[in-house]
Amino acid sequence: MKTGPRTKRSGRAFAGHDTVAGAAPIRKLGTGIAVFDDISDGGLPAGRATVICGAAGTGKTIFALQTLCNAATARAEVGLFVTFEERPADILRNSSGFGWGIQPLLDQKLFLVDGRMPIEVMRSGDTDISGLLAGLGALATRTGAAWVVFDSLDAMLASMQSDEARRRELTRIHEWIEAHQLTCIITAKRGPAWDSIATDQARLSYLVDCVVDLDAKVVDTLSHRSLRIVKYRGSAHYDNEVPCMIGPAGFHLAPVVLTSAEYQVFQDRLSTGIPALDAMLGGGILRGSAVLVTGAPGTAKTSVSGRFVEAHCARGEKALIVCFDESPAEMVRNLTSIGVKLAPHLASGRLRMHGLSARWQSADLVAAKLHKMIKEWSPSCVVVDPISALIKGGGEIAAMSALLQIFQQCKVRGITLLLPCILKNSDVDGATSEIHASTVADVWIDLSYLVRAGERNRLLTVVKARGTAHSNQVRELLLSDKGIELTAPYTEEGEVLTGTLRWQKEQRAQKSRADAALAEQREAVAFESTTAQLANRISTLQIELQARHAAAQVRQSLSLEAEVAGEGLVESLRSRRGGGAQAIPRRGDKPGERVAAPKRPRKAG
Amino acid sequence: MKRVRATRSIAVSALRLTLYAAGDSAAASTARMNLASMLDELQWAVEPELVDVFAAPDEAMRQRIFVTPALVIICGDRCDMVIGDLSAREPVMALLRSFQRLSS
Repeated sequence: MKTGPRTKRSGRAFAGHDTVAGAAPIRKLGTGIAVFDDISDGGLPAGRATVICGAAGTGKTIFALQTLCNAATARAEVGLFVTFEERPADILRNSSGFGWGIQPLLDQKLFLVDGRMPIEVMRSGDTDISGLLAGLGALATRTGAAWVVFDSLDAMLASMQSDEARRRELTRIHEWIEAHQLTCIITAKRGPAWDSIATDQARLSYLVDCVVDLDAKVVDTLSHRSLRIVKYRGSAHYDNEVPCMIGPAGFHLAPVVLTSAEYQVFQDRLSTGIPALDAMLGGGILRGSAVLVTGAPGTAKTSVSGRFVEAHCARGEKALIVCFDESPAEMVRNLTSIGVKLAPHLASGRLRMHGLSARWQSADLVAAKLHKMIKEWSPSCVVVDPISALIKGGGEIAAMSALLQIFQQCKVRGITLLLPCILKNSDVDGATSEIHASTVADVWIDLSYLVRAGERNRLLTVVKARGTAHSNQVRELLLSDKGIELTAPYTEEGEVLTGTLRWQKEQRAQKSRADAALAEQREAVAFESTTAQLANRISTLQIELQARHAAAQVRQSLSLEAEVAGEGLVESLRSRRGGGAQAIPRRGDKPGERVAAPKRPRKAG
Repeated sequence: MKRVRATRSIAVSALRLTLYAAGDSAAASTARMNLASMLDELQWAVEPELVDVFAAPDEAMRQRIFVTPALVIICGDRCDMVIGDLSAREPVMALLRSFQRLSS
């Protein structure tokens, strides 16, 4: 009769919320509403009461009925649905469009009980709902029910005479569901009757184990629905607001990825289709990364992302382009003019393009649609052009939340995500883009204009690229019908120039180099001739020097001869004049030193 | 234009007075007591049927009796219900009187 526990006991996502050590984790029953079972870590508390609280039209009845249908379909659990305000026929009609297969379940697994008070009834004195509970108890026993829903219990409680009576009835319900071991969902609109109980926190905490808040706001003409688990006694849960919507299949929450450990990581790099850009990015973009391409309107963001998609499809992989406020056909035509041909890939089925309006649906809805497309078709590359259009769908916070959803979905599936984004101020240093995509992205390529000297040139910079040694230079981007090109890095001194200024500077630089070369040549020639001349002079002088040396030698030898001859003459004179040989002071002896003449015998005479 | 019912043609046996109450709760006993005393006051010799919703829950479900105590008065085509322990006597008395006139 009672089905076994279907619980997810893993608390992996809620590291900070540990149950008391030694206590068994509480038993839960899944609602079948996908993300809700994740954020509640398994579903609703079994055998206990959960209150779903919210203003009119926020989807409480849908949530409760959807849970019962899911439980019946998935686990054959029987449920009793007691309505206190809406007619059973209306409830059935309103939910028939959701495709829950409710008709075959009726009176088999799902019992609709009309608990409404007849309109014309006289009231005299105090009342209680024992009758209802008695009847329900019998029905539950007979059918083996596991669930009971009290829809719009506030309407029933409003008919009670006093707050004290209301609290008493709530206690009665609590005891009753405990006695019958039913999992109970109570839906209640906020209002004086309910608030008086709800503010009595102690009582409500005792009676109710889980409280879920549903909210629906209209922000700037767009509707935003959200769900929040306000309280879940004895269990870890995600307690932030989760955007939700009521879609074709019923209640539907935005996917919440709680741990980034689920992200896929790759090592291989994908070419962007622009070889120079690949070189700037160290070989290409890492698969699975999120690439932000920012720039003012007209700076070729779509061209760059379009070229990447063309290259991606040419590799045989699937890509999805979602464009806002521009028709896919227009985009294809415009890209063809710069040599990016997407039409063949559309035809082959490797590329799908969707045009969405950003203004007329909320950002969450866009994210949900995108999620559906990704789930159905599994592309390996997704382009959202431009991601900044999400702001039109409800403001900055909604846009950021939608972006994070898209980002997480792609990371979990290993999809390479390209996000062209319009920056309001083209100052990259000053503005992280409005929806803070820059903090989330792995690669950030910025495209800008430089207006100077009467020209407007496009520039491309890689602002950041995680896990890559990327070029830091600003390069000029050229679009032509042959495709997209980046000019070679500017290697002149001084400020980086672009366009014709660059061309002029380069021309001037070339000319000055040529002039320098010419001057060098001339110098060389002049040098040669001068050195030749000098060499000549040197050799002439050397010859003269040699000649003089020779002459001096000759003179020296002549004078020596003359001296010798002179001495011989003197000697012969002496000898003629009868002297005898004497020591003749020779030259070279000390001057002033008289050589003693040898004694001559005295002549008599 | 209101049709005046012929009071004589309706047999006493077509009148049914049923009090649905939840076991022996205070409200149940109060309602029973109040009903008995009111019928006494009207000197109306009619036996009210006392149904315990705990004993006959399916019956209560069928009759759509969810709030107790509930007094259901059926007379021919006319059916009226009073919920509560009948401590506010006057309106109930007036209702009972009108049924009494109808059935006599």
